[in-house]
Amino acid sequence: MKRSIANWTSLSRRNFLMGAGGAGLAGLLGSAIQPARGAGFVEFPFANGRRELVTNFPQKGEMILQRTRPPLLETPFDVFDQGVFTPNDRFYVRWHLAEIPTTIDPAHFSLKVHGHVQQPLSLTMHDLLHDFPSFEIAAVNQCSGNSRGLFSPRVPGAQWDNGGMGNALWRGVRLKDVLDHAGLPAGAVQVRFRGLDSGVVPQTPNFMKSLAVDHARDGEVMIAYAMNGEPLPLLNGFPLRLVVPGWYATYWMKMLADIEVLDQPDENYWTSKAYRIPDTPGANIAPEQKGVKTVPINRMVPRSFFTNLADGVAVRRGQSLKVRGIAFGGDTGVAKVLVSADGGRLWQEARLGTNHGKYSFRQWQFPLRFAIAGPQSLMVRTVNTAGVTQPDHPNWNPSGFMLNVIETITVHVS
Amino acid sequence: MGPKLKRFAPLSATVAVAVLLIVGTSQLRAQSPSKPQGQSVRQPESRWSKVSVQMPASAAVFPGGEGAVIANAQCLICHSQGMVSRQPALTQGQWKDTINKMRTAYGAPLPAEQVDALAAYLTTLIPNGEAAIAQDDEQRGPAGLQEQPATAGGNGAEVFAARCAACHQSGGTGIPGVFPPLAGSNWVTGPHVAAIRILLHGVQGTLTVNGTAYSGAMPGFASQLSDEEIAAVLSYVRSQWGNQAAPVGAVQVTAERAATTARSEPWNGDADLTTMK
Repeated sequence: MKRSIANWTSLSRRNFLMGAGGAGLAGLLGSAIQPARGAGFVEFPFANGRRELVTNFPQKGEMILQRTRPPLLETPFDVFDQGVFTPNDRFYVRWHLAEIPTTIDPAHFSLKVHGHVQQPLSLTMHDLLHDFPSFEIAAVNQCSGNSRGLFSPRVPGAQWDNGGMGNALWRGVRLKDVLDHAGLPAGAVQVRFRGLDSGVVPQTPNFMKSLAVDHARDGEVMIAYAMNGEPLPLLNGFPLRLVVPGWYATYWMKMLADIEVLDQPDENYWTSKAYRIPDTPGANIAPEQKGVKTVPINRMVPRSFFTNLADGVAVRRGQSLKVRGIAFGGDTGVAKVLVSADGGRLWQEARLGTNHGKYSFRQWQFPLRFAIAGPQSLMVRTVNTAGVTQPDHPNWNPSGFMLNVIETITVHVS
Repeated sequence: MGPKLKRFAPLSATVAVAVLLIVGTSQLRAQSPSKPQGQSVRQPESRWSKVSVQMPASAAVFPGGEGAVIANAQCLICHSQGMVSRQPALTQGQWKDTINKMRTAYGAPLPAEQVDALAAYLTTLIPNGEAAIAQDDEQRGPAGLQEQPATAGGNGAEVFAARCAACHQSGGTGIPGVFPPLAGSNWVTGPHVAAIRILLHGVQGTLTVNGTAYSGAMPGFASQLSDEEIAAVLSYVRSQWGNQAAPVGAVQVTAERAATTARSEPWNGDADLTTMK
């Protein structure tokens, strides 16, 4: 990133010609180049990576089947080429526990707020829709283990490719407003969230996650009752879901029904033992490293992707390519997106699409032509507004969390 | 809730927020070709109406051998086989760690002495990093959004879909060798005492259904389902798929719950239950 753009122009002509004229975004909207997929399945770029495409989950269109029960569904990556917001019926799905209510009647639903509060609350949907100011934010929801299948060495867990994420416009009420209505006395430490799901056997710990009180009251963490203008699909948490902008999705409790304010740190399994990462930059350690200090997973890291070029795509020499993709800054906005066609020696800024807020996907586009035949390496990375960028080498940890290496695809130029 | 919430409903504040959101939204729409569909500032409450769905079930089982018996009896209690068959090639040590995590963190009722055998079996399942078992038949039967609760049987059908169908399948067929059928089952259509007690407390060990021995574990639902729900789902399965046994009333469930209130463990299969039939 320290390399000068001036060098780029001359050197890049060797292999990589910028389209100088400003073809607008509209002019660049070509047809998406599909990733590897066959009839009824996709082939992920890792061993044992064949996955069925299914359409038989409720309120869902075509999804990649990772697991039937409890449901684990990945968004086919070409969906991310179709818009900056991920449609509800294509939004990925991830449940931990198999006892998931299949019938929910909001008329008889209530959200409990209790524990270390001045006034316990039981809020109906009517209360939430009418008695609190509504709040809206665009935010990326990404599984902690998104891209786990790409880890090397491989690690157990849901073997996602890159589609364990989505971006939506969330509408609901600020958690702060609800907590302040209940009233937090001195000594409130954490706020714990629980949904309506439970384990099959009674010994399975209920899925609960906690946030520090200050975080819960930051005015951005919210309780969403709508997603992209519609009630949430049941599999994405109908009727209410916690939204924790900039943080991994494990905190975004689905079917949120219970909020408990704690006067001491949460010791429940899911907060204190699960979803922990090495306390190192990028949660990165060497596979042989043992005894590393861990902390709960928290803020997301920046990522960027190609959405209309798949790895291994064939193009003609001199062909005008309309490369485009998405990026997000993690816990803050996208400052820039950089593209390289020479193995990462030289980087050029892509044009950014509409800014929907610092927690949203940001579309980018970059016109180019390859001047030299043969296999060419095309890379993309983003730099967020805090100056954080993606690493050259993949980060690794035993849980398969937080992968955000620079994206590289091979383009075969003939 | 009404009185306590009054301070959150000052009209002027609500309108101000609404106006801000309209402005923000229109700008967003003007610039974005990919806006989300149909957002409105004031959402009519009627849009949050009752949702009732049916989840697809998985019919996939683990193939072959002693290890498969353990895997089918244990792993499938909480998750479908696809979670296992889609893993990378893991070492026996990694599988042992995973199995022990299921036992200690998630309460899988897997005896400690079976961990090694199960881990050894799972290492053979994905040789050379490719699953040796077909994934394409993991699912069977269509499912989808149902705007209305399913069939006659009402609440019983809902409870069945939510609690039972994952293992016993939506057609009550079970999975041969793994989960016993409910259709034509002498346990389902026999005296209600045994059936109620199975639903309340679960079963482990060997259970013989229509002459076939099953070895697995079914959780109890005493703490998760009310007497009314247990009565409804039992009445439902006793009247479906050709079964023609009498309905069960909540009062009968209440009586059995009271009679077995001291029980904290699942029934031990045929040994405990045959005498109740």
